[in-house]
Amino acid sequence: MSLSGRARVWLEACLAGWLMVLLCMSSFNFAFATGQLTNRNLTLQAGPAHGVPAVSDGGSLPGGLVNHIFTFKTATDANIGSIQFLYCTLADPVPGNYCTTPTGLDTTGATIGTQTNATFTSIAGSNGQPYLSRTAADIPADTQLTFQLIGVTNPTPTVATSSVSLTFYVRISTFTSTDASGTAVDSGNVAASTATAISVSGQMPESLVFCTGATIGLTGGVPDCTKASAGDVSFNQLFSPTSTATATSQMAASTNAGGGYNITVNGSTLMSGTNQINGIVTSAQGVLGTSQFGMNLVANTTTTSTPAVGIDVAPTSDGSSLKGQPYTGYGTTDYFQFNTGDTVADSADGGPGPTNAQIFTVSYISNVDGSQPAGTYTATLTYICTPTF
Amino acid sequence: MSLSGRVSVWLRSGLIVLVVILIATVQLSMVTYATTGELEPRALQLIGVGTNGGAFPNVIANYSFTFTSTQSATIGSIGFQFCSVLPVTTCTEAGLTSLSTTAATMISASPQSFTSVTNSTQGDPYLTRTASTYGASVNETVVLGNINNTSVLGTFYVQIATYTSTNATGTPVDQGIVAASINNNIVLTGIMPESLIFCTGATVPVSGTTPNTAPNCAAATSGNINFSSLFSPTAAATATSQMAASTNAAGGYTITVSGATLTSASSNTITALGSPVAPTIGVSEFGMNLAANTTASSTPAIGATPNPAPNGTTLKGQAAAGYNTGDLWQFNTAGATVANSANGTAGPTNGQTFTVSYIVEVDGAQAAGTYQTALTYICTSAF
Repeated sequence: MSLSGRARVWLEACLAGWLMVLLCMSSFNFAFATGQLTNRNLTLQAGPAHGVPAVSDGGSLPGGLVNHIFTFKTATDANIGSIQFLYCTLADPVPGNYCTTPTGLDTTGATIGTQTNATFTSIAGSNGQPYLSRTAADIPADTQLTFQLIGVTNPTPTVATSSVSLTFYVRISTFTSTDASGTAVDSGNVAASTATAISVSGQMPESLVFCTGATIGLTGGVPDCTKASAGDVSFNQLFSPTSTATATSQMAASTNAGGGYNITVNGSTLMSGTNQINGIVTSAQGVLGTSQFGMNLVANTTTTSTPAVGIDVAPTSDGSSLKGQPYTGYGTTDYFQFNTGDTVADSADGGPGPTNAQIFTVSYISNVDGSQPAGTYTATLTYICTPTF
Repeated sequence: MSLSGRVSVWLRSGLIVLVVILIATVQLSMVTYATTGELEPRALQLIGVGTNGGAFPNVIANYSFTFTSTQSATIGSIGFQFCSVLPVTTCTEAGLTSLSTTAATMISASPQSFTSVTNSTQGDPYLTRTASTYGASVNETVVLGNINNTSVLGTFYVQIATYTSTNATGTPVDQGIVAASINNNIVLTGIMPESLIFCTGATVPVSGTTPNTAPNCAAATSGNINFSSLFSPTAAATATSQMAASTNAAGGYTITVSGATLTSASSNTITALGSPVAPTIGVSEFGMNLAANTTASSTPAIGATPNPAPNGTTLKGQAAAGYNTGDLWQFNTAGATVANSANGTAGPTNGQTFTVSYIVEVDGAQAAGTYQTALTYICTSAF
């Protein structure tokens, strides 16, 4: 073959090659963008509530029904009729590479959510290739756009990937056409990754924290039973027919029991051998010169004693998270009572229920008549807190 | 195969089938309830025994469990598993030092009854009976006695579970956890010292509301008193003062009065009555008593008996002889006991108020002047 013949063969081969390339490009319909979308990202956002009970999936949950928010800036001033979001398993900046739709991805139920700086009227396209559409209108260069696709089902990792996380890519392209066909005006890739949700679990058991003592300390303003002092309490003065002796103790309680708690007091009245100071059976004010022993769980005044004795439950109950309250007979200022077995407090402020910790201050008074035999009088009181779960 | 051979094969096959059926039956009976319900509401109340507080460490107490069933089932036992910590999947009574359930008794179980308590395993007592129907929503109360509380302060737990088995084994039908707390007692101590309350004044008011009234020495008025009228040969002049006393002295108290008779600045006197007598108009005399008098002595009548009246037990104050009869008057300048707490027998008494009445009669020659006396009352307790 002559040189011209060989050259002709080479030319014919080149032409055939170009034709094949052109045919291939036509058949795959790849868009050649003229501009690069900048400032672009894809945010995976928690999706719409679904299921029973209705809950939202985390934005990166594999297979989760979520929202995808695309943000990007245009490079070219053009009339734009559609914007396509092409989901691929691999980054695909090079035309000619096949795009494989990530396993598990489902965009067919997606709807248009929030839009910024441009408004599209509909969403169409097959799975993995949704596009927004409208009558073409101008979008200037350097316009920052945001589009939210609601209800996209995230991809799921395949066995082959073995990882619980999966990175996928979305090629964003703008078109003058209204159906994402033709040559893209601008385009750019974004990437995102699914990630298995971290499940953090813990168990809150049935809870009751209760303690008694002369005093209960606080930690960070919260009653702290580890700071309860011993339960030995002495009256502030010698008993006398002419003045009232007083004393206080404290107790703290909290529970998560649905029925709340109640606290009873159990024990005998003040005794010295066989001599005793009678308990006040029915709530009443103290009377000088009368042998009587009583208690309450509120702040009292100098009507009862000097100095005044007692503190209201602290923190103050609010009927919701703090429900502790003195019980009937033990909750009125300057009125005292003592019967063994009585309920003296409960967590029923606003209705029985669970409550955070509060401190009750129990005030005790003792009056005596003139003939009260001399001696040391003691009462041993047991407070029992019973929660109802 | 011969006939005997076929029979042998049939027999062997029948035995195998029978064994399989028996095994399946046993397994099925052991797993009756795949889903365990919750006992709700539920509570545990610690109840003291004798003088022991139910929540006091390391004492015998009774445990009252209340719980409501969820599922209707055949129940043969109820278990009570003591736990020092949660979760119950690792429930253990380890750490509950001194806890003892091995002597636990069944005090009551109602409305569903059980025949006995099995307490052989520490921390895991259970009630048992022949399995029988136990409906849903049964609000059961079980009281276990003779359980020794743990000595460890704080919260502990008990898992209650109902079983179809009679020995608290297998899958629970219903279950739930209750909590209780062991706490130190509050020990209140006060001292009643030797006591004597005594005061005098023109008046000693009473405080309190009937029947809880008592003399209030803090409100006693001053001791300066004047006779009700000018002295006169034709009418008695009277006056009163009050005093209150109480003591816890075993021997009670005595009250004496001392002082001179009425004397003027010019040293003129009005003669004291040396023995209890009725007053005589026109005769100079000064006397007193602690009783209620009548118009036989003066108009208006004056005086009062001790208030409250003595009852021989808690109120023992009384006027002493010579000063305890109405309309009879006496004043001994040498000093005299005018009251004591010996009503019934001498002993401690609560507060009472004495009203001391004074009377003056004068003759026509009684020198003009202002007559005065300072009387000192002394109350002595015998502890």
